[in-house]
Amino acid sequence: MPHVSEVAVIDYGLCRRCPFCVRACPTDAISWDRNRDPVVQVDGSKCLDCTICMTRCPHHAISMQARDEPLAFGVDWTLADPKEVTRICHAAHMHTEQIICFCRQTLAREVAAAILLGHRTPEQLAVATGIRTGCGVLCITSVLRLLKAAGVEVQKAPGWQWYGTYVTIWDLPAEAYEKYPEYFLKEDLQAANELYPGGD
Amino acid sequence: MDKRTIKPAEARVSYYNIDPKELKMRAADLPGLTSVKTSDLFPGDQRPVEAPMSEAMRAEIRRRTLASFEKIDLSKVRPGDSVNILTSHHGYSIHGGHAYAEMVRTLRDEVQRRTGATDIRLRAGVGLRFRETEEYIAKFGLDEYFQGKAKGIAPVDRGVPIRTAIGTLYGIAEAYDARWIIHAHNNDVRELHYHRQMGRLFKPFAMSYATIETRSSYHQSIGPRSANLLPRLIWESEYVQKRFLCSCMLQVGPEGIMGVDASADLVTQDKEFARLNLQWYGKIITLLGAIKEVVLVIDYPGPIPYTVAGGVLFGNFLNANVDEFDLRKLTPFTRYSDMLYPGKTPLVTGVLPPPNPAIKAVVLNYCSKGYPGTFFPKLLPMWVVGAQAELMENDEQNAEFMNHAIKVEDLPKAMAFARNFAKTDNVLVFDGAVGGFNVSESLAEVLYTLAPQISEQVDRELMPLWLKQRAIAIAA
Repeated sequence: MPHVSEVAVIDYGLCRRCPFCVRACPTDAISWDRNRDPVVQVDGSKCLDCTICMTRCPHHAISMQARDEPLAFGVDWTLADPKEVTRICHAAHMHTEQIICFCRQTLAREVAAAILLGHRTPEQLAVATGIRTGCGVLCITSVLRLLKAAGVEVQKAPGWQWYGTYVTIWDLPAEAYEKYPEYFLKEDLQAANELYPGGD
Repeated sequence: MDKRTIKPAEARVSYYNIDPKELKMRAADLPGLTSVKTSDLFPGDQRPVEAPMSEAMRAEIRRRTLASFEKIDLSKVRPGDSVNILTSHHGYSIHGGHAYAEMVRTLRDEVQRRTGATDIRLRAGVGLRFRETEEYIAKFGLDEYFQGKAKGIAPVDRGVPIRTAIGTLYGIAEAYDARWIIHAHNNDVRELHYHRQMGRLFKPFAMSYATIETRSSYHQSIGPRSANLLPRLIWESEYVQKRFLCSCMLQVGPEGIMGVDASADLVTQDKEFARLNLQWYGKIITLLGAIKEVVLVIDYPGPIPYTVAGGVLFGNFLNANVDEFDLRKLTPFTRYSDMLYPGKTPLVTGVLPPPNPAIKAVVLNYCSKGYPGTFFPKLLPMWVVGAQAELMENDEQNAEFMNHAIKVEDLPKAMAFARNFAKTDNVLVFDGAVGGFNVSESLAEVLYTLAPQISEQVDRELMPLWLKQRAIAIAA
């Protein structure tokens, strides 16, 4: 199983409770509550050492520190119905063994299985599979596509995690093909249909 | 350093790099290395600005920025208006970044002088290393210069919806939180495998100035060529157009920094720079693609595919077995191909070309962390030197990188292993050399031998094709 050996730790002498880190954390591991002390807290069981909070904190109040014990994560995709896993991946135009998260090398089937096992938001999927806990950027549309293919309607993200709108080669309007032929839309659609499964 | 080699880029003090003290040896100091100059390979009329770090260069960049920016109509800007000068991380790394920083400072001064506006902010976008431009802002004293109004912005920051012709995409709110924006960028050919020299000057609108879904759409959900429509559409949106004042490009070529060009017409400017980049980089990249076998050495303070020499990236070489300027072709490495390599072979065969088979081995002496690059050691035999290996082992964006690479104590030993494995004397170094490449003597000979026929092939056959595909007239 993959694991992480560090966790985000807040230096409360520097923390201004802004709460930038809360809004940027991809696993929703950092919470803010004015009625407790300290107001900003890290849930170590959900922190997967992505360092996004540390590198975006305006006050340099967060560091990554060694855990007492490594934290394992990951989903055994065989625990989910393999036919459903395949159906979801293909409906999202993905191979089951396709990499989604380049940082953690997470595969589409692991995310599809995690959805079937009850992880229903990008943040829950991040905690379960490690997806989005490297760069935090590149794989969000694939996560949203798999959730949509599984029939999960995502609600509002915590903070600034995601906004839920994106575009794919399969749903570009016809006018775009006509107006911008120099961008090789037709050719890329053909390539995409050769490289990826066909959708529903 | 061996006097026959070109000086490599200096080591960088950064969260994303090893301590310069841990960098025990540079590739340029390896015995037997020499250098080739791009101007000797392809004699031409490029006349770069003075040495990148000199005072004379700064003065020249200021002079050229003023001369070019003078033609921009600023009459719309009122003294009480706010202006965001939008910049991207890469500019601050081009040949040490001094030229780009000076261009940005000059823009600020000139906007204030000509309009009376004082609320002029610097916004510095990043790739996937969120502290990077904060480091550059500190290095170049830009926060003081912008009177406390310089800020690094990142794709996980608050977003703002931008309605485009293909749907709503998101920009970073702080990039657009002014009445006016100036797009301060560069034309460096850089990640040709992504932009394919189609709308290259627009790209930051879907990258440095955009939030995660837009950037993810570009890399995972559109297509390796068609994704370049996204930045164009964001720029064309009403939201951006009502703020867009002009663009200002640092002109870069293989010989170094060439000048500055400001324009209020980004579409035309993009076409002009496409022509220049085809001329400036076309022959060199085609020549490198003709190398049959080589050991590569990565030795530059940037992420692996962005390590550079002679204006050409490691990423360009990785794809150089395919003519990346030919838009009909798919290239070996993009994020779309990366997704299809859970192992050493792609999930779908017969569609994507393999990474450049001329690369027989790679030695990683020095690079930045903070760019997902497991693809590279998975597909290429790789030896990683000393402290650099420890940096990669602890890189949150490369959790499995070192599972595919071999750690070696020092650079000479890594070179011995790589050369023995590759069974070639050809060595090519990506170390930030400007105006040429540090290479082994055997490879220098190969390059000098091949250059004349490559030059002819590009002039006669390839350049007309590249221009036609981009609807650029053959005559300038």
